[in-house]
Amino acid sequence: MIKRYLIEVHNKKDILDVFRKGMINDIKEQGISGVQDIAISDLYRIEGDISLKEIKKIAEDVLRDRIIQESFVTEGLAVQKKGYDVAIDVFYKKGVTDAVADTVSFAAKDAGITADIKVSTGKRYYIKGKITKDDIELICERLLANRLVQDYYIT
Amino acid sequence: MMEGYVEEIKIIGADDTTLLEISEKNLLALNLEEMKSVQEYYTDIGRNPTDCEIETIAQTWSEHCYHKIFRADVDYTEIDGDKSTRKKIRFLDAIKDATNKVKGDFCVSVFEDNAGIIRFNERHGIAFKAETHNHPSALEPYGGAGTGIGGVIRDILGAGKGAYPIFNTDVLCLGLLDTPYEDVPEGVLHPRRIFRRAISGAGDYANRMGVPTASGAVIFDKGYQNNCLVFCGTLGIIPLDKVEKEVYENDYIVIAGGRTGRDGIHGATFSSIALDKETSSSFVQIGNPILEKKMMDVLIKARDENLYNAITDCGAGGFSSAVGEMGKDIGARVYLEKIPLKYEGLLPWEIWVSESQERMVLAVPEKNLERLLQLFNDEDVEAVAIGQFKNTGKLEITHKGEQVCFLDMKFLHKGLSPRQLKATFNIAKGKPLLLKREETGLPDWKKSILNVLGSCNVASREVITDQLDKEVQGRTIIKPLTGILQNGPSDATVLKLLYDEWKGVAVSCGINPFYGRIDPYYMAGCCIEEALRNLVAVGADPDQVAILDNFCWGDVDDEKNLGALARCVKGCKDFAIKYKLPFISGKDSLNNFFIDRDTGEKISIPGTLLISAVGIVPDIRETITSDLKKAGNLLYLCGKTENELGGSEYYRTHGIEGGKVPEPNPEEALSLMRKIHRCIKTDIIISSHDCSDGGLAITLLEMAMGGGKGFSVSLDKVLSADMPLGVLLFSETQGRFVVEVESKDRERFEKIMEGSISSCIGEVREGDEVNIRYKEDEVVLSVKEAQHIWKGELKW
Repeated sequence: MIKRYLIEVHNKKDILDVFRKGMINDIKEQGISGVQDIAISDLYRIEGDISLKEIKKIAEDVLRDRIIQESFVTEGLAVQKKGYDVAIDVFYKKGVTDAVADTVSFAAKDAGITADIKVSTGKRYYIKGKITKDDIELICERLLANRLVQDYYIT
Repeated sequence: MMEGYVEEIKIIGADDTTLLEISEKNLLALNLEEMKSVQEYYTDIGRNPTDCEIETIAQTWSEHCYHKIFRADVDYTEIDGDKSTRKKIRFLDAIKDATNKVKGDFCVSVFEDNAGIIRFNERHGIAFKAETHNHPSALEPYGGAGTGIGGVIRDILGAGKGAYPIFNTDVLCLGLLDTPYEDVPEGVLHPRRIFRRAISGAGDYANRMGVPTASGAVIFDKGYQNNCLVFCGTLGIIPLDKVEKEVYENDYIVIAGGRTGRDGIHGATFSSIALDKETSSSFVQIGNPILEKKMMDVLIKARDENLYNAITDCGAGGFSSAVGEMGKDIGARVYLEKIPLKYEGLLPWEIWVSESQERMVLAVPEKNLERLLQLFNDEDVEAVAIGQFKNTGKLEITHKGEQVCFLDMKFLHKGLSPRQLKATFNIAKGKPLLLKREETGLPDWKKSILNVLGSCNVASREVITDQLDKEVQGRTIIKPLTGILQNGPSDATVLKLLYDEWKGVAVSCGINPFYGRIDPYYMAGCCIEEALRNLVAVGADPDQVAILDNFCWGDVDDEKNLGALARCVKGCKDFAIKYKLPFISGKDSLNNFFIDRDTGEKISIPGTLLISAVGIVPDIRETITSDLKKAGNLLYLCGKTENELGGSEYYRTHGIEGGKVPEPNPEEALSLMRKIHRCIKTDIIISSHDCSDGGLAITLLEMAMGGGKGFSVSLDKVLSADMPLGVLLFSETQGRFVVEVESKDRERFEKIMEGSISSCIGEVREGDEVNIRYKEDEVVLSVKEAQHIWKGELKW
């Protein structure tokens, strides 16, 4: 049976995330105040006739750097905001080359996963703070996604 | 639409309006005259073209692939005051003429292959090529700049029977980083975003390929706000017995590398069309450097086993260009269904013209086919035979048994008659503007110097270079930054090519669109000289240098814009001959303009010429850097200073337009460069820096920052120094160097310099203080303060 999973990988709490720091500055430069904190995760959507155990193996052995990162697996695509106010997912549009996804498929095979899987990769940005909907759109358009090749989803 | 669907394009009997409609609807970018040639051909053979045929023609005849403007007959009028001269000129021929006059036996392959090739030693040659990837980078800077590097690396892999890529260059021209968001039109990305993403894209691709990037430039100007320029260059090393390539009848057409998808369809024709706010995503390419790295490794192995007769890369126009180009003298038969696809649903013509990345095309004799496919398979790189070269003079393409293209190679490659164009250029009489203090209110020389030092076009580029791998492969000897603390800029990058030889090469570039605004002729001269001077400053031999030209221009349908281009080409020709520098390869990217939807106004970029240069360094142990070395050493200014502030950094920081641009003096400059080279080789000069953007003041400060030392100079000692201090400090006169000489070598140095202008202006001092005196003026600066300003301007 074909199932859909979402793997989320991000740095552990006490590990410096330079992209996070940079992003906070970038948002400030846009003249948007009110952002208290943000967090960034890598997302991997995986589809296929594959068990949760196998997905966890991919998440932990293939995608995560076990020293500085942790990974979470969810079935389906529900977004948990984990104490943040907004979550923004950015994915490539269909048909746009996703080279990292291809590599994940190869790496899963190398790790002994035999099921055929379809992978797409993206990023999730969690934002904490009081910001208007318009400002979130502005952040997405100017900083997070290039709509020519990517779509973003705000929750 | 169904898979395998082939459409008949009804052009027989179509009137002019319909022909143009067909061109526009299918994004063919062919003008009426060209459409009529196509119509004539098909009327003669008595049928309409298929979609695949007309796409093939459009790709082959695109500005990007065919260089219609550079091959056109241009009727060029040059107006100089009340004199006017009129001449026929073909741009490409003018450039080639220059090369033919000066190339000697140093050049191995010029203007024939994917890259120019020069001789390095008895066994090896150097392949060098620079490309632009402007339109894709404007839309998706990360993917665009990345695939720009990926593409030019493949050009090197496809030069001769394949050169091994060892070095990249990156040059960007961008809008001002502090442009207000409101000023950026809809559909255009903000310059800061392009800046970051383009550098990340180019860096990531090159870093992952394991090819160092250690040379380049960044130019900021409002004129690039809507159309950024991204130049990518690669240098490779090739055994001289692998330079020749030829396709033979019955050779298999083998494609290797990435799969084909819908990405980058119409890239070649698209680059001939202006940008506006509605642009489709299918133009965009995103790269996969890991795949290209694997392909690179296996290709070199196959080359060394002599498994193929010819190779080329799949760039603009996809297979249609690559196979069409390789088979143009014989013919080719292709079976489209054999091409591995990324996903189902591509129409035959889409497969044929797709610009998916990381693909190469090889001509493989039957006896080697099995071994070659095995080799690729062993390295996990997909390779398949998709057809054969046949001595038919035709391009025959079938898809699952159905013929989708049957075209005459001769018509395809020779069917386009040269365009007839008109160009006019009005030479502006640039008079030197005299800067009197009372007029400009600028007695604060210290502030002026620091303003120029901290201007975006002079400030440190370390936020960029720090992100690029400059060291991988272990060949980089002189890097972009120099001095113990990497605090000063280098003039050129020096590479050690072979592990068992001290001979090396130096790489540099020259670019200055600001001079071009005043006179493109002298812009060409200055760019050529700057590239050469940079090489000489590190210790390259001025008589063993080759250059590349990359023209990026705006709307060339405009007679004046085309006139400026003609004037620039003329400059390239004249100065290349005078400096004895052969052009070995080049590329033009035209139509870099943006159409404002509301006003309909065409906004063109400033005409831009990039000269990339590679020079032989006889012994890398005899190269030097620009940082000051030891207190007490003498400082010389070599070369004559003129009042040439037009287009200078100093004028720009004060918003002054016009003036007289630097006019190079090749004879004097070459003679000086040969002397400098001699002094560097014999350790008489121990540091040298070329005088360019920002003038003498900036040159001296950069040397001081690199060395962490101060200096004391008196400009009264500059020969023929009867000019205002502003001119002495900031004039960008060409043909000048500042050099450091130990006092014990004073006599030897001055003896060698006899016949050239050189003035001992002061000495290196320990400590932080910089002291510049001239007549009643004295300027005192702190090196640390200068450093702070120089490094602080450009932020990520």
